[in-house]
Amino acid sequence: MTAASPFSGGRRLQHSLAHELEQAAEFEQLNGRSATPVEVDAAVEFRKVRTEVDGVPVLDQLSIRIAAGKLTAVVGSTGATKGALIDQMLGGLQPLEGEVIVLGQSTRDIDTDEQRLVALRRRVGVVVRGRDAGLFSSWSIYDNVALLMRNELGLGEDEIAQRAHEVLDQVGLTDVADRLPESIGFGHRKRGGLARALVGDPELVILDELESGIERPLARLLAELVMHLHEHRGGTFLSFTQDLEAARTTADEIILINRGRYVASGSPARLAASANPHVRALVAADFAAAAALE
Amino acid sequence: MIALLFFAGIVIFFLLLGGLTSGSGADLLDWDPGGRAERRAGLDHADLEEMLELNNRYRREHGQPELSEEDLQSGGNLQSLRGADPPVDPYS
Repeated sequence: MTAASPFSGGRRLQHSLAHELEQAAEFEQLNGRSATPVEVDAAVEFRKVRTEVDGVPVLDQLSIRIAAGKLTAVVGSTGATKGALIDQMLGGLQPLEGEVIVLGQSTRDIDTDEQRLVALRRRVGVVVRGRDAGLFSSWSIYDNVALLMRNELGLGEDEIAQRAHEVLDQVGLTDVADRLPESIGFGHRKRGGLARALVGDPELVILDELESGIERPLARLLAELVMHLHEHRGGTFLSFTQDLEAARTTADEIILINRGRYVASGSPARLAASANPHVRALVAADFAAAAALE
Repeated sequence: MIALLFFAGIVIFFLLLGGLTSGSGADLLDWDPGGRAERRAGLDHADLEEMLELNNRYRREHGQPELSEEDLQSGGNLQSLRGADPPVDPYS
């Protein structure tokens, strides 16, 4: 007898999350902003960004600021919206209107300058979505982690080994460094993806739904590990997630987005005291209470 | 002739059923002669234990209470990891 799959419950939660975000956005439209963006020193800023992908609007006059040096969770930006946010931060997609500023540089200014674009991307580490976290299956965890340093930073093998082992220790993968991804668990692979994103010592780390494809308890531990790594290393961490409970317990700031539009943002405590009852219910991840509001 | 058509119909029905079903045929029949599911469960459990130990290493460094497997299943001991900013219960 195996444990119940977390995914059936996960789908229900996702549906509740989407529904409640919709309600929260509606409340904001009717009652004005109850939790306006806090003025922060931003590592990333979207200024009134409007974006379409294949003619479909995905970001609608979106203005958000990702605080420098903080761990920020962005909740509600699924699919195309999230893809557009990440692509625009990495300079792979330009907005139709507005501006995206990453680590002090407007992506519009460096759009045509390949060298500056590459230089910007080196300051950003990304953990991609999926059970394998984008690891190359025929390479060991160590080689996956060393890839960036060998190919782009041009470091010597001694320095590569030192930096790789340091980051592998931080994510607890020293003992499985020589193994292939398929011979280890999905949680290990996610940590391998984390190690690969962190090894270049980036100023900004983007985490794309780290909880996807793994059991809930493991996802919780992974979210907590990210928080510890953030405290340990510093820098700006930006986590796209659907797990509000993990966001509430581990993030410094939460940004709620619905259908490409800003809904609310602030620290978990600030959002928990929001005038918008749907925002409060969302941050408490209490969907039973949310249903009672209707 | 009718028997042949009937037989072909059954074959087509199962082919369509197979095509519309996600996962492999082995998954559908719950057939796992190689013990893949057992290995997977073993890896997942090892994963969980290692992650707990790793997180508790960081928790000890920060003077936070350690987490047990029971805490994780029940959701206890997960609150307020950010310390001085506990979430407010809006319904209290």
